[in-house]
Amino acid sequence: MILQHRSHNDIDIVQLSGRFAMADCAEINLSIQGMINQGHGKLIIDMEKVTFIDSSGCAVLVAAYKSLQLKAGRLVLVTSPAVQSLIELTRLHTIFEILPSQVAALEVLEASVGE
Amino acid sequence: MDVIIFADRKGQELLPLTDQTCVPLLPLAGKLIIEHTLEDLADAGFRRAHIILSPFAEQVKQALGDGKRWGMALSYSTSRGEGSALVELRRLKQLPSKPYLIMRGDVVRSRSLKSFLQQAETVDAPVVPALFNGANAYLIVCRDALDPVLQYLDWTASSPTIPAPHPVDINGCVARLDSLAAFHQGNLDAAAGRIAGLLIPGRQASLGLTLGRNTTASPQNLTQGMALIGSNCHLHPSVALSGEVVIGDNVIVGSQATLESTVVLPHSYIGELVDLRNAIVRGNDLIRIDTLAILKISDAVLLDDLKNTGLLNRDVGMALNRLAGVLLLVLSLPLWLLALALALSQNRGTMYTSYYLRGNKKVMDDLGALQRTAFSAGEWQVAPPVLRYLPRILAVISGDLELVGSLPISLATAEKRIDQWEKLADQAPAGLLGPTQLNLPIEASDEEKLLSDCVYAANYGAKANALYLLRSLKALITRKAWVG
Amino acid sequence: MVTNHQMPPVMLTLQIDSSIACVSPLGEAIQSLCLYATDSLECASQMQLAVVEAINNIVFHAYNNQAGNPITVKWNNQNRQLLIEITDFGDSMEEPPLPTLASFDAENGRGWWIINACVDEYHYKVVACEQQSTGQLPDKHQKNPKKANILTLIKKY
Repeated sequence: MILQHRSHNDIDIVQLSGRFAMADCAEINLSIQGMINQGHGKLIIDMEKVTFIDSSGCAVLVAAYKSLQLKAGRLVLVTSPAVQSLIELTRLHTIFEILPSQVAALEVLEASVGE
Repeated sequence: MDVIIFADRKGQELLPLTDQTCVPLLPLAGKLIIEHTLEDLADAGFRRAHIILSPFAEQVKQALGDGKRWGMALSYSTSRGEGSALVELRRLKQLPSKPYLIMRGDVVRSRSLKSFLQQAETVDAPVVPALFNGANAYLIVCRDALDPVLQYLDWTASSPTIPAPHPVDINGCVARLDSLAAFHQGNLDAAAGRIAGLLIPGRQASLGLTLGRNTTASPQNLTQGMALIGSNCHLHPSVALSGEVVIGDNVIVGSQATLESTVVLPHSYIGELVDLRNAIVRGNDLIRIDTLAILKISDAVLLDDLKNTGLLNRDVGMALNRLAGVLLLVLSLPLWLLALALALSQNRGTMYTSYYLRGNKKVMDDLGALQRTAFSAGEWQVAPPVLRYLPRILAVISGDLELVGSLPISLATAEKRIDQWEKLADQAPAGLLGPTQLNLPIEASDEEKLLSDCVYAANYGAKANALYLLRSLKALITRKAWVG
Repeated sequence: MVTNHQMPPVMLTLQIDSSIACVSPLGEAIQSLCLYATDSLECASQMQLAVVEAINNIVFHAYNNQAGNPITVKWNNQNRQLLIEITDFGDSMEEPPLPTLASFDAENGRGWWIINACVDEYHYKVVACEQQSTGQLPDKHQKNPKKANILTLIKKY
């Protein structure tokens, strides 16, 4: 699992690749929660290059969603087919905002700056 | 032309129907709601469509598959539900190529797609929404990629904030299905043909009665109006349907149930004597459209009955039995005179007494359980059993007794039967003749009679009954029949 | 050249230690095996997901996140059916939890829902065993060495 973090204006972008499974979840969760605490309430988790995710990966996403809710922030996900299918299987697509690419996600979050 | 179908209603307004499924998968006149849209598209020559789903997306994908059934290629994506069409289109991996058609698949509209497309051809505007008799049909031809007029498709915007600049208004109707009452009415409208052009599954069994495959229902079930009944249903011959009734697949309706203006969803069971009007039935939930009350229907009794006895056989058997009773009465007329004469000569006071015995007819008690009723049985006050029990032939004619069966007992005696083995005897119908009546002396103890009836009930069958009937004829010329 | 579907019945046994670091390699192995047998990426991914969820459960609940305990995975492919048997010697469940979906904001409790959705059938049983059959790993942490918990996952393809 590789985690990369960068910021674009006030938007945090986390890029994950490889396996998003139990073994790495604690670490990823810590980093993401840290980003949310210090950030401006706008987070993109880009999982386009994630090849595998299990329910503990989902738990990290739900935790991030809940933390951002508390900050009145916004979480946008970018998914790979493996991630998308687990999100749909667990019916989380009805709460997560999912966009087709990081570019589209950035556009949407930047457009909401003035809102 | 690309087609995008929005089927992402969250379905809160149709609870409890949408607690385990989503709006596009609810049944409407024998098909899934979204199937009507797909059929319309296939009919208009479209070969592919992309569907945007939200709750229970996996169920929709499973139900529709790749779309081969309609000769179409279907693809899917998911959304959070009831989002704005403008936003949702941007979320697609790929924007549809222009011009494209977008429409809702979780409402039902009459089959006017072809004529709409023809008329839209003549309108020179970037976006052409369809109105069916002035109402939003949730159907838009889009020549520009994204245009604010697309909000005509949004579910949450009940009335779009901008007037449609170049609408095509054609003849047709749209069932929005936005409340339980609207869903109920939509089903009735579709089944009655008021939503023009929908393909209703089934065959016309008689005037107003449309039946699906493997369904047992008879024309006399429909007392008035029209009914659409799905596949693999079973309606008892005494069920009465009236007004407009829509029954889904795999439904069982018990005897003497009456249904008026009611929609029954698939896999439901409607118990005996249930009376429904203006209702939706789903499983054993009953939703009253007028009050929106949700009730549970008790289904304790009848399912067993349906399984264990061939209904037709039982009815024919009953008729034959009563006919035999009439025949027996005619044949026994000389014996009645003999009994009368004997009774007159032997008795000063009472020649004839009557009392109550438990028969085979059943009624529902206060708790909803079926109980056998008592009938008035008489006997001549004479010694020979053949003459004494002549009046019981009348009970055979009335249907209270079978020709052959267990010994009829009084309700009081029946109540004393508590043990499991004692109740075994109750499983056989009571009859005029039977092993207990033939083999045991009248003064035999109750236990002995009960034991004999238990043995009879355990070996109950047509062959055994025929044998007892033969033996009864023989017994007519025995000493026991005339002396007792 | 033997194509996959003409493959003779094969039984493979894999064994890992009860540490979360071992789950991913095992998952990849299962995915590869299933892909090799079925030629279906979807089927292989679902099988991997089911096995990973099951083993996560074993590590956390049966062995209380204690490394050093054995988990055995038997893989079998026969008659267009994949059968995977996962054996552990930790705490037993009375029965596997119902495959219900947790509420949307719950962070845990989706595992059995996922397993149920990914395979056609699953069975759980606890058997008494005299001696572990493949007990190369140290078994001193076992709480109850006499019992084995066996989860069977079946998927047709």
